[in-house]
Amino acid sequence: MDVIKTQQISPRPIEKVIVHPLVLLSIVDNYNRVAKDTRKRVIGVLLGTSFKGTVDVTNSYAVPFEEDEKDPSIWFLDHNYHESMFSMFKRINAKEHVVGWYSTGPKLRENDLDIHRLFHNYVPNPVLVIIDVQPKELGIPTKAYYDVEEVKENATQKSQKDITLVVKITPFSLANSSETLA
Amino acid sequence: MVLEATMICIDNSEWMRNGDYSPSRFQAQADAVSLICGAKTQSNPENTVGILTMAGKGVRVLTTPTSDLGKILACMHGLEMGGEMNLAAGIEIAQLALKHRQNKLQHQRIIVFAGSPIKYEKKVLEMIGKKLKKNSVALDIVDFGEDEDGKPDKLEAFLASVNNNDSSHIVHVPPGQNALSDVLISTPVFTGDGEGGGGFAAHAASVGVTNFDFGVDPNIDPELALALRVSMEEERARQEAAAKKAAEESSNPEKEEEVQPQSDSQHATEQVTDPMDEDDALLKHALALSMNIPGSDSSAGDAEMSEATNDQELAMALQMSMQDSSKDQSSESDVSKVLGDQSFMSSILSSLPGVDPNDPNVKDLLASLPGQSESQEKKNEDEQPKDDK
Repeated sequence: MDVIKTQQISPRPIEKVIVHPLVLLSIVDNYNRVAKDTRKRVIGVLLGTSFKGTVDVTNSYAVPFEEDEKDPSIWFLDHNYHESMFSMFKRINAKEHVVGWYSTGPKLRENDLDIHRLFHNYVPNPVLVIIDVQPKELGIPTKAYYDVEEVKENATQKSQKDITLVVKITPFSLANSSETLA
Repeated sequence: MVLEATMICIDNSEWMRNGDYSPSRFQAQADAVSLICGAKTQSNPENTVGILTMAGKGVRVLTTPTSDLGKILACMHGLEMGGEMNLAAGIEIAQLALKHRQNKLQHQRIIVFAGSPIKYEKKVLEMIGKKLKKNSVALDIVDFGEDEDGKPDKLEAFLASVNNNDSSHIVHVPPGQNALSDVLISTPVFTGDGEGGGGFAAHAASVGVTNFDFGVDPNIDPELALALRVSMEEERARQEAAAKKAAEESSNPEKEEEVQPQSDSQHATEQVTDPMDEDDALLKHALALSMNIPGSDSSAGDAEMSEATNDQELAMALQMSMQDSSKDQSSESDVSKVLGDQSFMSSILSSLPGVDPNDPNVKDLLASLPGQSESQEKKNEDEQPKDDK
């Protein structure tokens, strides 16, 4: 389980998500190897830091994920794998925490909310980034979401709202050591 | 020692609060799960076990298949009951989890604890079963707890659709004073995974379960258990021989040989040997003569055999000699006198360890001895030693 840092104890609503190029590369590479011509999608964890409403995603890794095509409520995500993997990543860069998760989409699916709820165990307000691995048009291939609790007539219900996040892909910067690999 | 990856599906629905299994259904289930995990990991160190809960907010995987027993037991801690069990989703997600096992050589197995009513139709279950069969996943079902109409049928149909080469099993555990885990130890759920499970089961059983043939734990007293087992087999063989070779004097020597190991086994039951030594010759004679009444003898003998437990060979011998005494007065007078001697009989039976006069079988046996008023007395005498079993 992630140790909650001071800046995350009182979570500010997320306004900006910055995605580093390493993340995009590894996601697309994983997708091409695993699920390229299938209708399956790849899901993984996003690591980074979050400060004053800005989430800085610096690293990522895929996790074993399986869902039933016919029944969206049947899905399995190996969170033991995630916990082991994260503890190993923490050893090389202690500043990176879990900030959310990604999906290759290409669109939102019904069980995304359930998966998002799972990530609440690891981070107070996780962010979902949908990466479009086969973009048809030029532009930023990412879309970011977070979830909002809406009070309906009968009961409180969580729903995902599309926030107008400014998803900024930073150009190559040499600030972090992990990016020199990219 | 089969290499296996197992997913255990736990029912943590509201129905598990019931206390008809001690201390509560949920606790009994948790104990059974711990035992199964231990047995699986012991039988093969590379086996992995994972756990998921089916009720509550939804199906939740607690651990993916791992061979770390500590992790498995830790995640069983602090589980809450509530909601309804979602059997279909639980099994499907268990199947997905097994698909992602690390060692692809492991066989896949799902163990389901079905304690609450099943709201799915037979058809749905059968479809799931077929999918499991296609992916060569074995299934064990533990049917306990809530006893709903049609639940055993649904589960049997489910099992039939999954079963491939008898690798899947179902166990119905009715509520009672026996703990769920104790009942499961003797079933294929435990022993189905080879001999390693048996070792663990015996170890667990020594804690206080006597599911063994003669009420004697082989671990505690192997000689006694062995002796009883040998004498049982000898007696059965003798019965068959007696039935076949009716009124054959030539088979006397054969009988005497069989009687010999039988009396040897009797020697194992300690003080019985002393008074019986002198009767050996008489006993052989009695048993040989009992052959003359093959039909009634063997049938009565077999009936008694199937009922009585510890004192089978002794009871058999007594019965034979009793029946003989009613047939052949002259030659049996010695034996009948000896065996009819109430005080003598009571002294023998009181010295027998593990002979339980309160056992209805022994009561029946003694009551069946023809016209022996002493037998009634003997029964009462037997009540005494039996108490200290």
